[in-house]
Amino acid sequence: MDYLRKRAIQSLVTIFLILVVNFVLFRVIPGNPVRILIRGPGMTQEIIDKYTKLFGLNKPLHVQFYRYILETFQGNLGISFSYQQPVMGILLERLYNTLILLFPATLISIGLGMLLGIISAWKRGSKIDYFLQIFSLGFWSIPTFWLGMIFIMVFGGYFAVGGMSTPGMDYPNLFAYLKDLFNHMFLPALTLALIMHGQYFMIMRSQLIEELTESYTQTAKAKGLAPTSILEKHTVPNAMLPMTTLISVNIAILIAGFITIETVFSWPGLGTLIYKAILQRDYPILQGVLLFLAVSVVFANFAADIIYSQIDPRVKYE
Amino acid sequence: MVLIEVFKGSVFGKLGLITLAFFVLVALIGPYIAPYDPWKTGSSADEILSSPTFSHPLGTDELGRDILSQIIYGARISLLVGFASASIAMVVGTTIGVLAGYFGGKLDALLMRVVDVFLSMPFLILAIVVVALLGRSLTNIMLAIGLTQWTRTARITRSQTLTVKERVFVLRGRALGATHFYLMTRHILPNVLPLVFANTTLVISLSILSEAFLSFLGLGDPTKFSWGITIRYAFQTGAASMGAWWYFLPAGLCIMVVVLSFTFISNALDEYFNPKLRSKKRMI
Amino acid sequence: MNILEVEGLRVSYSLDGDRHLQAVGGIDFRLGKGEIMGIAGESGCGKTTTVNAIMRILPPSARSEGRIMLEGKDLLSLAEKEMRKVRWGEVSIIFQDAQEALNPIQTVERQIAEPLVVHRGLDKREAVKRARELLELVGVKAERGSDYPHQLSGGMKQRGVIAMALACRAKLVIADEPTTALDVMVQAQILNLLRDLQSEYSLSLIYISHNLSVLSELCERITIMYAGDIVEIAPTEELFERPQHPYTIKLLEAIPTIAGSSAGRLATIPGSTPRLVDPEFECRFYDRCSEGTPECLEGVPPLVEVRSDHYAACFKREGIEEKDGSK
Repeated sequence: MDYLRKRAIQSLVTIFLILVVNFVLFRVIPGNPVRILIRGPGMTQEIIDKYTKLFGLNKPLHVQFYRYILETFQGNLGISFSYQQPVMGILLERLYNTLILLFPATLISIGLGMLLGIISAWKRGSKIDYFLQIFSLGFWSIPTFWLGMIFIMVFGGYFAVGGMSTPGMDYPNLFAYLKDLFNHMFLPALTLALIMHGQYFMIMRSQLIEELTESYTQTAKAKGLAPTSILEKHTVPNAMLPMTTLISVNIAILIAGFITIETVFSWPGLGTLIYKAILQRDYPILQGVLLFLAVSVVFANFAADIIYSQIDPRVKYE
Repeated sequence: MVLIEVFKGSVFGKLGLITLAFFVLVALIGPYIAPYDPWKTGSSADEILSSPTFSHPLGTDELGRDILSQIIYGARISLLVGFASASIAMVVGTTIGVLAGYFGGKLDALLMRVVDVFLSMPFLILAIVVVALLGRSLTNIMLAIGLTQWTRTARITRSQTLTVKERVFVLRGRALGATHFYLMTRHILPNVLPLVFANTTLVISLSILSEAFLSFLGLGDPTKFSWGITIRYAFQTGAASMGAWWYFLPAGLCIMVVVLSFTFISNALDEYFNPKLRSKKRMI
Repeated sequence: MNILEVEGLRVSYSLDGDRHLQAVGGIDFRLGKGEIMGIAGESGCGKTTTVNAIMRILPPSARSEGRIMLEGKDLLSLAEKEMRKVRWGEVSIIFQDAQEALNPIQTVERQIAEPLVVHRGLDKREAVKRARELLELVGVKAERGSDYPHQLSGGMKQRGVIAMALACRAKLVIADEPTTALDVMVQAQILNLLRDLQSEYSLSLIYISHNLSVLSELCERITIMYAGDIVEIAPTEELFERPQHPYTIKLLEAIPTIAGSSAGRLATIPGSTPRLVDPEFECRFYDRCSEGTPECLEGVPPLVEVRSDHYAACFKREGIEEKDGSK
């Protein structure tokens, strides 16, 4: 438990540093923040002064920083330039849509990666093994958006390729809504799942190969268990332990993935929000999203540590 | 030479090396072998978005520009950014890692917290922010990607430094009054660099992919062609829905092949430097 | 009545190219019902390979030939599905390193209970209950059953492994150096435990060890193996008082005694064990034997009865049958 306490403190320190970096990046770097905040020509000095006072930009830096921290904890991440609405609200709304896509995609990628990894490890050295390695490695090596475009081209006729729902449609019941949702979700989720599964595949494969050389595997066979039982009850559970830590490593790739997938499929989530914000130079959105994602990553890493300490009895009972 | 030794056993390693050499060659002599100037737009109607023909082996885009030439010129940028970013990442990472490992204590703790912060920032987000703030030039892109990739190198060099630090010849050097700088460059670094180079190929792969992602999102250098930029133009034109496969397929294939080549090379290097001691036999 | 009869057992591993490693080179032995037999020899002599061959748990790269008759049933000819019933149901094994042999992420009682579910059709709860009873039987408090292997001491783990081996009341129990990894005090306790269990339940037991003193404590008969061959089999007392094979003689000389040898130094056997890859057909002990003559290079010496119920494989020892000159 000492280890977890240490990690908790580390996480808090990291979050604080992220806030600092965030502040520095957006307040300090792009020159006069006011000019950026209030774009457009024809700004008179009077208006600039008014807004400077309003946003507290004439105060010393550390006062601004303090105000920034306070506002952030209150959930105030600023106002979006393009939407003229609080960033937090927009972010949460889009986050919901993104999660609807991410959840199934992640589940499929983990399941697929693990399954193929088990097969590959069991049949190590065979043609299937080589084929699966190239298969998973291949998907890991291609840009997600490119695969998305290929799928649009090939499967565009069978599944919806734009947005989350068919525009202007009236849903008579929940089932109709779900059916439409699935139709729109299928290709983006599949693309994401195929790209992401490679990492889980590689780890499961190497871990299982390792576990198959351990003595307890021989004990299981000596006890008269069939190979499927041995895998199911002994080797695979052992091989699966490091997967939790893997999930936190994967988050950066996942984020890159969903941003571009949403863009390609016009899925109205965080990804397209970011894309538009880049186009429109909407700094408050970018700043808010960066903060949100970075803090999520810290939480996810910490959660992974907690989970791992609970599932591995060697760590749990020390 | 050493190269031959390393790749002797590995079919995939050799394949990767040859493929990579091919791409590097194309990148270097690009302007001389590209059939057209990639910026040259087409004039007649049937030169626009045409599928591959003899005169345009990879077809043309919506402005009548030759795709093959775009790919060739794109190779120059994509590979350049990949190598350069990786170099930045490795220099920064090695420096920080060695400093942290060598001096230890408060400096180490501080630097590791910095590493944690950078690790928490999803690499694409960080790169987006940097380029969005600094502007879309090639140098900024290389800088941005380099900033996102250095952390892994830093961790590796730090732990290696910790190991080497306690070795006899280093302790002896300290006893003889060598300066920190001398010890770090003459003793620690030579033992750390092989590990860094083995890690390089992975960093280069990720850099090339990062460049593609950034370009696709519109943060690439608009005055140049790269594989990611080509795919972006294809996307904006709606090439996928139109079935204009020649527009985006080649660029993505190039990325895939180059990344795979690096992966194969990396695996071969790994096998050479850390041969898996097959003392344990498979039980079932 | 013999519970186990092994005939012509040969185990080889195929290596890269056409090379072979012969771990066991055609051995014969038998075990009577309720008997304790020891198998002794240096590391790599084939003791573990032999018992793993009996249970058919060798790595996939190994090939076994010969016959292994368990109460008349040839185990080597059984289909895999049938063999699974035999494993643990009829023959079980006590492994050498308990920590390695156990699954680190499962409780000890669950691992003991597992074969009961698989072979005796008990449901999980009953099986765990029985597992706890078994733990008490081997001297471990039942509530320790819910611990994980790393939470138990070396001795407790080994007792757990013994309990596991006895779970299904197997006809034949093999103990593969069960005390080698333990310190001397614990070793003695485990030996006593095994002795008690064996006499209580009339177990047929094969006990493997490289330590002849331990075997002399427990076993009625001892088999000596060298480089994949059996070189001597004899009742314990007979073996110690009238060893026949040069290797056995040297082994016994090497045991340090309280009285000490006259030279004041430990006796050793010069040289090292021969390579088992692509073996030559000659007596394998020749290079280290003090009695070797050129005729020893003409073939592998067969195991013959040199005294009553005492077998040795050495060209320099005469079998008791042949009076007419044939061996």
